[in-house]
Amino acid sequence: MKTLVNVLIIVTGLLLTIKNAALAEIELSFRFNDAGQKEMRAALDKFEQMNPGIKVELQRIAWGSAREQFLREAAVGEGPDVVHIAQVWTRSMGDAGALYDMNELIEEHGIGEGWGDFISADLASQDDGKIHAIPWTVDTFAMVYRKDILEKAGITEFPTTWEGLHEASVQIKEKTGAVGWAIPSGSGPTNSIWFFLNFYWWSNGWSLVDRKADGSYYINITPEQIAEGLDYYKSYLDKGINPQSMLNVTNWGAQELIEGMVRGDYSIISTPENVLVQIESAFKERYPDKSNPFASTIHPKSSVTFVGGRQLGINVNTEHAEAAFKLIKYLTDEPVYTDHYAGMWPAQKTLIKQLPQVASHKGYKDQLILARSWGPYSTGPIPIPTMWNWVGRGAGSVFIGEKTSIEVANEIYENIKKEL
Amino acid sequence: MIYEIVVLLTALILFIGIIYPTLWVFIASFKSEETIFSNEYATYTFDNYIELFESGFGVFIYNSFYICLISVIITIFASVTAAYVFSRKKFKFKIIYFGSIMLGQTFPWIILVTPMFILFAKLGFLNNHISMIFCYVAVSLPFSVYLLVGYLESVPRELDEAALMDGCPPFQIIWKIIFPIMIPGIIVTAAYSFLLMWSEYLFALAFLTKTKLKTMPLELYAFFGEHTTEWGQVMAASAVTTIPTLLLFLPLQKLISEGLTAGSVKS
Amino acid sequence: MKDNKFVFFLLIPSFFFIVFFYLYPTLYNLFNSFTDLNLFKLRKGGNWIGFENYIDLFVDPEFIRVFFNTTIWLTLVGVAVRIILGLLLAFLINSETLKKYKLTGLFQVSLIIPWATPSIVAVVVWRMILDPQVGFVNQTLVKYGIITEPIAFLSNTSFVWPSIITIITWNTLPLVTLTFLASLKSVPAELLDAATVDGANKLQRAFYVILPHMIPSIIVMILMSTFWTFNNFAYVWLATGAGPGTFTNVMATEVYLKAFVDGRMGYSSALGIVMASIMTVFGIIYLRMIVKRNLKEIF
Repeated sequence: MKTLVNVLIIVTGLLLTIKNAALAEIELSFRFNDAGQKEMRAALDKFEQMNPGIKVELQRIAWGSAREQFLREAAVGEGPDVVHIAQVWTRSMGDAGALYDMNELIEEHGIGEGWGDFISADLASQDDGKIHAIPWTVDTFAMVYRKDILEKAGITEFPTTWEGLHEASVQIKEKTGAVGWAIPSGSGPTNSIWFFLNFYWWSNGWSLVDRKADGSYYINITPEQIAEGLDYYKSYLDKGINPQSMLNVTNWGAQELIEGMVRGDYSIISTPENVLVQIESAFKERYPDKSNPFASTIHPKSSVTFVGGRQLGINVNTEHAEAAFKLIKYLTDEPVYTDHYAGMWPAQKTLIKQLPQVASHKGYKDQLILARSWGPYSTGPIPIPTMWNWVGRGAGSVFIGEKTSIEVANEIYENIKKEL
Repeated sequence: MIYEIVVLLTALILFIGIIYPTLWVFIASFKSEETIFSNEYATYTFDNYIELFESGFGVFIYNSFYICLISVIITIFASVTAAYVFSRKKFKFKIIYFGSIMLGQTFPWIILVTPMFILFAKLGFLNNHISMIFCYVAVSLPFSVYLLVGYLESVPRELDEAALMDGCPPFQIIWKIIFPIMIPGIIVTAAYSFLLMWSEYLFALAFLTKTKLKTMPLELYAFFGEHTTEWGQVMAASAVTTIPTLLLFLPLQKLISEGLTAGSVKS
Repeated sequence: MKDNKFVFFLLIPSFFFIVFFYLYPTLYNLFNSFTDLNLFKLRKGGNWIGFENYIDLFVDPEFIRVFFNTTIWLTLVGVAVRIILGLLLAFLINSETLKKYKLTGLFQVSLIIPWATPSIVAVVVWRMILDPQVGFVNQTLVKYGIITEPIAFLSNTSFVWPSIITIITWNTLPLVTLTFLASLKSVPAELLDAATVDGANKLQRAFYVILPHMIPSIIVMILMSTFWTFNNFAYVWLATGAGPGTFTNVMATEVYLKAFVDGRMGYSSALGIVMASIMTVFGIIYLRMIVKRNLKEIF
């Protein structure tokens, strides 16, 4: 009898445990690094309602440390389940074995309008077909300018060549005292000058890393051509048409730029769209009676810019890949962009087409059509952040006159060549 | 007279230089984000603070306090005992042992992050306040031991030696006799350690990623976004981060400046 | 309880921290410095490459700059400024004039403010104060006609180091000053009186009576400021990001850049070991000094 009771107790116990396990909540953690945490929390609350049994914990880390931290965590079996990463990190993180291959999940559950609808899908997947992240948002730089100041300086059409832009900046300085193109030229590891140099090189058909038809990588630029780009931006600083203080401005959305544009100290910058949103909102608060003086357009020489963007990856160490994928699927659905993550462009062609149009932001749509993905830069053997740092540091040394442009160009050239 | 004016003027300029930056943070924290950097135009508001606390900053304050407080207590415990032993006992390899603690002051913290990260990961201490507490104690221990040994040297030996003769157990000597006399030195040590831990973010960045576990400097750092910085929040958070240390230090000011020398100058 | 056992028992807590937080990381870095460990291959671990990292390091022209910046600018200049200003400030606060107008207390209290300001906040606010467009310093200088064009303090190569040192000094001067002040106050009154009787004026008293009395605390402060500055990562990183170019790159920022931007963790470990070795030399000097001067009786 006693034995029977014992057995019964054990069996009931077991059953209860199994039942509990089935009901037990899955706790996902989602690392989302942008501002607007409150809005994202609201989106996650909705997700939790729709998926009883899954709870999502929201966490944030400064973008500046996001890459190293996740690599470190993944290597020791830690880290959040779903991680917000720059699209140019995906491949190297995947190579490092930090990200989960989502092929099977996509096959089983599908994603958006299909894999082909995603922009930068090439960066999210590896050459062997593994899919290590889902593209989430895209952005690019466009030229933002003050119509009123350009008009005052007698410039009616926004320049369409690099030289024209340079001349326009001189003209603006002479006629209005304002700075023409204010170019953040600081040298931190995530500097802006890297982008501007690449825009210049790309518009001439050059590229630091390119890929041959046979799949091998080569350097598609000469040291002289690298130096030409460096000299172009140096000339702005030398003539004082780009203020020297810009040497300590690293970020493309720095307060100095926003404040300068709002006050009218600066008249042209190249920046992503959400910075323009901030500029416009600051301007409106400061001068409620004035009309919006801002406009946007494409870069000179119809320069190709890059499609920047963020992707969502699943940590290789996750215990809840299914649930994590469910969350990603939800986050890449239209309502999240329209209701909770406003101001961001979805990384899906179909969704972009449905976006409303704001007049002063027209340049972004035009520029995005021209934009290229980082392509060979990110699929190649040198991690983009490494080149980014080299180029920014090198440019800084040229700008302060410590090295000549050709010296730095040679260094960059040799460095890249060595690694390719 | 002229001499006095010159002295007073110099003092005034220095005084402004000393307090202006911190004052600026407090003023800016009450300006709306759009007008923080504008000199000619300002809207004053509590919005930055409201937004800051709505975003859950209160939890970070609590975490910071909790971690720092426990770490300070452990530091004090470990360094008082060590200081007592160094100051009053003779034993083998004492100088080597004392030396290795003192050399801790010269240690470059930045090279500590990765090895500690890996060790804590193996022990399952990531995203656990224990790891932070251990690190903070380790960082502040060398200087604390140094200060307290110096302080203890200024306390007459006869006091505790007499008690030892009377057959008082050694542990009691530390807590009943040494500890009370050393209170001023301990306060300085505690204040110093607290400040060091309070503004630390290299370790916190690597070891704490779960939102509910984070500390204040970490969140402050996260406000520097990729495209733009949330300056309103940065200023409010900076003010909130500075207030507790100010409140802690101001009343202790006299003690701190006196206690500091006890260690370094022994006449 | 036997004395030895008791000593052993009391040393356990500090021993624990020394082993896990100093010995282990040092050995870990030492080992990695002989490998090609990479951030992207953390899982795989590194391969043994012998002294290659160290050889690379010493032939890298960047290392010479980093070394120079760290030792000369950051440490030598930074510490000298702090000590000299700290002394002057201590004398000022202790001066008869300030005492007469009852300003001593106020001044001493005000010193707590920069000290209590966390370094990250200090750098943020100084960046704003030094800003060419909106900063207080430039606006004041331009307003009074001292300069005509605003100066980009944190990017102009002639000003960037002095600016960084200003920031560090502001944040760390209070500790130095308060230490000196306490030491200044401990000068026995009889000594000063005797000097006055002998006809020494203020300056002579300062140089021949007060300063010699303060020597031990000055030396200790020099050494300690050296440790705190040499290893510091936050000030330079937050103020200039080691730029423009690599103009203000120092050892701590280079360790960070090499490990986490370039991903070369082995190389970065080698750099860390070099850093630790340099500081150990200073540490031994310091140790000898405090043992000889302050703690003679206990060894």
